[in-house]
Amino acid sequence: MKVKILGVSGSHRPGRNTSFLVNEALRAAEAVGDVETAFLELWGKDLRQCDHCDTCILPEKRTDIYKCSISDDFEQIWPLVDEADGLIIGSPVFINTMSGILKVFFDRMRPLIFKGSFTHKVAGAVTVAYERIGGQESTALDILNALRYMECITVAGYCHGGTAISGVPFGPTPFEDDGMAIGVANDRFGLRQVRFTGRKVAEIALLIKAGKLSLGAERMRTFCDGYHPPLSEKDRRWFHALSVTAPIQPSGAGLLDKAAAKSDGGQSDTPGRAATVAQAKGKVVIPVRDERCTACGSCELKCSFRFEKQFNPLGSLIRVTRVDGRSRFTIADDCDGCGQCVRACLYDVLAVGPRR
Amino acid sequence: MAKASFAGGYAGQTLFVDLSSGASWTEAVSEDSARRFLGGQGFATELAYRLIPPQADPLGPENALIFSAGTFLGTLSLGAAKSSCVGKSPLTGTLIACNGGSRFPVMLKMAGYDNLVVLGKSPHPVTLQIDGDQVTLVDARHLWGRDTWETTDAAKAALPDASVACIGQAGENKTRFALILLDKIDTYGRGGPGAVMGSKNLKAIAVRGSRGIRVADRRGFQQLLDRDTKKFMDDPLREDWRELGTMVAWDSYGEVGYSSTNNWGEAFPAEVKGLYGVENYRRVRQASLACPACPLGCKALLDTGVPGRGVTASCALGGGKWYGVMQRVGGWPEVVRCFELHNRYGLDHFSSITLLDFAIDLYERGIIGPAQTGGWVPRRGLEAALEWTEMVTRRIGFGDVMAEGWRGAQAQLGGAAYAVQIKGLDPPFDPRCVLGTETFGELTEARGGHCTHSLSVTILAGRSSDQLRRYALRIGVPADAVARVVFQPPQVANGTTNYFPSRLTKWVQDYNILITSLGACNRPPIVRLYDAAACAEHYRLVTGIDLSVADMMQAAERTWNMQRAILARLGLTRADDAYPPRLLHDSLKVGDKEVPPLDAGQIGALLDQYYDERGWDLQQGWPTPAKLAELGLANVTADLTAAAATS
Repeated sequence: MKVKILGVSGSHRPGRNTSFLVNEALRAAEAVGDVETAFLELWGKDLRQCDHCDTCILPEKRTDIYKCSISDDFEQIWPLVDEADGLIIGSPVFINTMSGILKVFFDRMRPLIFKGSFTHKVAGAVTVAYERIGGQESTALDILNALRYMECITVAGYCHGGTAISGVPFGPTPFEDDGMAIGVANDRFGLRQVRFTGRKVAEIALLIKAGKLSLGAERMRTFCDGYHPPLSEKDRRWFHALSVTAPIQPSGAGLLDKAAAKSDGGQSDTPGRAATVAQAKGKVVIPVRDERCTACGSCELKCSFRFEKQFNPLGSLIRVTRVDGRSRFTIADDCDGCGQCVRACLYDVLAVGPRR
Repeated sequence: MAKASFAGGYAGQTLFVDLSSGASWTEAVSEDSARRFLGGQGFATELAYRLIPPQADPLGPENALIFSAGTFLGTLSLGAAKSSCVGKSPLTGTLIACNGGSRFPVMLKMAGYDNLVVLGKSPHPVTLQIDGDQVTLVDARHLWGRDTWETTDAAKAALPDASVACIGQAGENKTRFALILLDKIDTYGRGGPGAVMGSKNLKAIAVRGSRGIRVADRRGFQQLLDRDTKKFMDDPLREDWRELGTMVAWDSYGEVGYSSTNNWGEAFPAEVKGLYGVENYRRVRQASLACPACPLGCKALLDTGVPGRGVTASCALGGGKWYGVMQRVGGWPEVVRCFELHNRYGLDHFSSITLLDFAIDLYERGIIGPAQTGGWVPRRGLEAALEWTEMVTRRIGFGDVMAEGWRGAQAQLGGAAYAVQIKGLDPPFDPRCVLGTETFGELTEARGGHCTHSLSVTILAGRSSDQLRRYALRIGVPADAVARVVFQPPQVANGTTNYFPSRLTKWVQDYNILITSLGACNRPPIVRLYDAAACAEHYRLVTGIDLSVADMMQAAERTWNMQRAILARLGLTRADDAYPPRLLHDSLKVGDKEVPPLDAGQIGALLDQYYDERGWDLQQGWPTPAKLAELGLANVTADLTAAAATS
């Protein structure tokens, strides 16, 4: 039995302090034994911002696909993260929190979140700042909070994980011209926290994997497939079975309504067609599983409802017709890949992808 | 042009087309109409009462054919795609009251019309083209003699993006059980609407439009959709329904005895169960198809053996039941052949095959012989089914007699004791097996023996009192009426165990009229999304009109009473609410069990209860003046008084 630990550096300076620390943590993890490691440097990759189109929220739990409307280097990153049993996430402190690139990394993990990829994943954080008390702890907490939010089992060697100093007293002073020196290499206390964090991620990942093996596949199938909705069929049934015996009455119905209204698919506050085209150039709807299409035309209705504020299939940017027993789609040139039709289809026929 | 005045849902206009003069005009749909009749079947019934004179010849120019789209049609309301087609029936002499889905009624609304009324008779075959405001009659002499598929393709080529309702050769020849095929996917099937179109020389209606349909409360509507979607996705039977359509009920319906042969003599013989069962059905099924905005897709594309030429079955179970069990065509590939022929010729295969079953029975009993059939031997099997279809469609020899439907055939051949029909229409379900609202509804439905408006949870027996009570409350039965309808065993009344099918039927019919008028489908996974309270909320969000549950149920009741009044105006009375003699005298063999015939005394008692629940006159079976006044139908009272005076 082996576990895979993936280290991720969110620094904008490749190969410097953050990379050094993450690799230190990975080395410590390997020392535990039965551990394979991999290291991922985010800088220099084509990583685009999530625009919250919600294509990744599938109507049903699906573990076999990463569904996203954006096509970029995350297509290589998702499998790495998906297959890891443990994660060590490193970031320099940028304005009291993680780096922007790391935030993009987290935001774009949504396709994995909804497929339950993080449910039994262990994760720890290592951070570095120039100053002695320069935001390392709050940044580590921010990273751990994000990971927990994504369903990870977050751990820290002790305290809040590895928090190290790259500047004084161990590294260069602000006015010295050796900003490229790796100051954290001299931070004995910081390194201790980082190594124990790496070790703990590895140990807990081993415990979880051993636990799964010991429980057996049969028993594991009864565990939750992932807590973020959409739930799988069995987890939904589990939830409803509980609801029947102990129905939970929603309190503060007004609040719930408000929340629902916010997620109403952008019906009321959508920008006009021109604005969305400008925002999301280069995307388009693509039929990906047309064999599942029954030509119900919900995509057409939803498209027109968004742009015209009324239902009008012939005015829709996507059109579906049956030709020789198959669905044929016509997608207008000004489709901007907003993904409304993708959500209206309950059978994953459509996806948003790059315009070719 | 009339102007739409609704905040949402309704298109706001009725389009009239007079085929005799070629004129067309519109009328605004009033809010009063909307509140009183809701839409769909309600609107169509109101128009039929107003426009079709009681003495009209169903195949004459004075008959009108009315197409009305349900209120929710055109929106994304899940599974809302149903419309109604109403007119005077050439098969039964009473009412056509069909419900059909497909894109056709949605396009009608997109063109700006809730209702389309076709009047008069064209001097030569025409296609009615409706392109938004442009209404034209196009010469269709070149299409006369073509089947429904060719006609649909031709009409679509002439008006791209249009939806097409058309007839095949059966409608042209006025075979009295000819249907109208909608976009090759659904039908206005029963009672001969296709023959009415044929009599008017109207080959096809092609319609498209892009006026759009609004909803009054967009945000509220979207929330409702999200909620319904979730509910739908949580339905444990959803995938089964999507894959098998109505075939999900093959075994359960069969075992009860609903699939009969030998002219209602024997049900579900052991050898047919597997032969036409789900496993073999899967081999011919190619894909699921859906009406607009329906997430279910219960319709099936069946493999005809020719690539790209699948035939759509709107009710696959009907194929297995009529062609398979009743006619024994041989297997599912043979069933598909029959489906294709009936679809292309535009024939209602329920009536067509049941009439053949009847003819076989008469022939075997010696009541008719080669002299009547012109030498043709009525028999089972694929060959006979195909010959039969050809004969009744083209009115060849014996087929010409049978194309006249139950009344015409009985008048010429006799055999009334063996004809299983109610008011001239053969019922799909056998009341001897289970006497629930479906089968009791067949007795009391205005259009004759059909069950669309009485589908409930009683189609299979054995519902507990609690289940029935919950169901009754869901469909808007007031609490005091629930106590009247459902009771606790061990009280046993009239052979039923824990409820009165008679009294429940009243409410189930009203509820189904409500659902249909709004445009929702009554396939179980869809209808489970709705209940009376949800209908009222849905209606408010879509149209902006606030109606209580009681208001809505009363609107549906108004429609039902008006349909009954149409029958009363024709002189039909309680005597016409009669099960056929065969079901009253002969038993049904189901496996090794004998299901006894119906008890006439019990049926009489049930009818009393039904009329009582409806507030109708017990002797005549007509709505009483008090009931009509309560429903605001005083004009109908005057008409019925006049009808009573002349009869």
